[in-house]
Amino acid sequence: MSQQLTAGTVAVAPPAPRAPTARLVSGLQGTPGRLRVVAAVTALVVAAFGLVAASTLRSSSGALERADLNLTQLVRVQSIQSDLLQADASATNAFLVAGLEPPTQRAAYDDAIARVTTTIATAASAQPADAAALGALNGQVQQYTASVEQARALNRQGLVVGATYLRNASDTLRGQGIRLIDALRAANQSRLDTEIGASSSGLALTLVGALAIVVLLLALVELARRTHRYVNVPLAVGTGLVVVTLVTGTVAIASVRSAATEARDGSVAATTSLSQVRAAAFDAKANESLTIILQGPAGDPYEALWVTDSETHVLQRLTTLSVPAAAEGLGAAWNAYVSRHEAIRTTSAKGRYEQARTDAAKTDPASANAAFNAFTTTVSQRLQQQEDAAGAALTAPRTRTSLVGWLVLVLSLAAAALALRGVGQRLEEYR
Amino acid sequence: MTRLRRSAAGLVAALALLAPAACSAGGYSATPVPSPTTSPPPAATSSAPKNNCTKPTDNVRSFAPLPAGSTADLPDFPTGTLRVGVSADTLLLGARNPRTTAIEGFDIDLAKAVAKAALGDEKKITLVVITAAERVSALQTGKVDMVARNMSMTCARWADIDFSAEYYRSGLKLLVSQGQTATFAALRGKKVCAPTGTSTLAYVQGQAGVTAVGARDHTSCLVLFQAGEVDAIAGDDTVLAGLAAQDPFADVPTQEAQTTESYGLGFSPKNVGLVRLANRVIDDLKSGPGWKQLYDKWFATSLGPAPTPPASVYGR
Repeated sequence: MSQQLTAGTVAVAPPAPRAPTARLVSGLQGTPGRLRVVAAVTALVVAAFGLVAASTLRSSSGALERADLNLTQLVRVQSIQSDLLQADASATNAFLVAGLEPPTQRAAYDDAIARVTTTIATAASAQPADAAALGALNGQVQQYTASVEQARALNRQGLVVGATYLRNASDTLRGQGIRLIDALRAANQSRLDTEIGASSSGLALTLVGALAIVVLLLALVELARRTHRYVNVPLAVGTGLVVVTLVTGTVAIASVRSAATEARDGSVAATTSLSQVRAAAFDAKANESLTIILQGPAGDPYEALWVTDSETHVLQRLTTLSVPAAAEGLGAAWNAYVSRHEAIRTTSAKGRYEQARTDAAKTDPASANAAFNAFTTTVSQRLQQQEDAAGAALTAPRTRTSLVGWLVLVLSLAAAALALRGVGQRLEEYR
Repeated sequence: MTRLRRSAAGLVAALALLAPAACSAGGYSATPVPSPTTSPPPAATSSAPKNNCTKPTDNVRSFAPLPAGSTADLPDFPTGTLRVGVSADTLLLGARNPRTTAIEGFDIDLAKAVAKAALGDEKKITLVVITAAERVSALQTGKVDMVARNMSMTCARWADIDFSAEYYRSGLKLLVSQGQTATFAALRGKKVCAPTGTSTLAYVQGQAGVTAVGARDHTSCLVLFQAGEVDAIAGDDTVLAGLAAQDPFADVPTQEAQTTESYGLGFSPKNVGLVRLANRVIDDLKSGPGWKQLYDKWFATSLGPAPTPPASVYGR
């Protein structure tokens, strides 16, 4: 729009309300107009910074909450695995005994399967993204329990085909069943890592904060040039507030980062490791029973699996556990079971299979089963402690982060208001 | 100033509206479901068996038995027991009784008789459970001293191991669902199961139009049969009788045996003394009431009255 046209209009027309566009145009002209632009841009940038800072802190708090939920889901998945393997260990161990299976073994199997089905249902409602995989896993569990029931029924009738059904059930469980659990574990671990990373991402906050400070300084310089006053107090105070806000937000994000990293490398890692230790222990126990059921060379592959479970998945994990205190005494407890397992294997290697079967099924305090149960009970307790600690470590910074989020929003809006006020004072001089 | 205040108020309202939208939604992509990997059934050995026979009875020709009461040339038994490779899931021949956990059957009783002759006590025996496919390798690697696992004496196997005299004559038959015709012709286009590494599976593979399916053992074939994954099971009539006894819907109809299967005890070629001792035991059983008593104990109910035991052939 040209000034001439506006001047012409004013000259020929009687005084009348001007169109909004015309008012806006005239309002942006000359020094007052320039100052209005400065005020609007400054306030907008400072307010945008407040919004980014607050939303960064809010989403950090949300990411921590989701990390905790993902950790809970990860532990659920791993407990499904160890419960399934515990069920298999009970079912196979029961086959070592002549005639009817011991009621305690049957009850242990039933309890473990009940926990599996409940946990699958809980996990599916807690994480819709896992629903398809959990549905497929549920199908595998049904197939497994059907095979075990068939094995039992045939065994009760004294038919040798029962043992083959049991072995097939175990093989199926360790095939597609464990593949599905591995996929679920990997997906939830990846979600957990992503959320822990997202909880401490402060790049946008830093960039927009720096931009706001630059704009405020430019506004101060512009005002000093236009008004011949060195410092505009409200604008300077606003700039100070933005600096305080930026520092506060950055410190809050940094503290979340250190807390989340510490949790991830400490109690979260210990939780996932102990879950795997517990699952490997039950897998080893089931393999031990299969080794004895299939006495002779047919059992050798299962003994090789037992060794891998024991050395790689139990002892090595315990040695390198991220929270050494949580592993205290567990290695010794496992080795107590290992020595009894080896005694059974020695008996078996001498060809005294019946004695090995009897020993493997015993439950007295000196038995392999007693040593094994002592180990798994302690592992389960330590796992619960680490899971609680991990949950607490992930959720602890949340309240503080949310509060800081509101604080930075208020401070930035105050800074935006001060910027408007500062420029407004100078505009008064043009009225 | 009022204009500026209005602008500021508008700005705050806009920010308040925008704030929730700025938060992450936290949606995740679905967990991938791994596709089930169906492991193909173990392939059978398709190479043509070596034939080391020149005369028709070469496959059953063994070493002369030791004189009665002699235990010359016996190997050392490091465990103080006779280690015997057996089956634990072939009902009637060698199977674990779920009620007692003891392995029992015709083959087991015969092995105990050899243990008694060799070591003076039938309890001085270690039963090592092996699959059909492991029978030759278990002898070659020295895991066992003897194999008593319904093993057919074939010319090809004589190249690797030694056999005792023939202790039982069986024949290859078919187990089918009730009402089904038990001939390979009637099973064209269908699946027939037999254990991997056996002469039975090789025979099934030679039948036109029939799909041979290998399994770990005959009991695994029964599991496949019960699941409807195979239509029939090929095996010796002794083995099939044990399978049919476990499934009221499985049937071994009256049929001509397709082959003659001569059962012998397997030994390492280094242990000829033990082979000759076993032949003494087998001959004593056949010439006395022992063999018929064993037959009646295990097979009479399923296979009818006892036939005449097969004659021993010597001259190796």
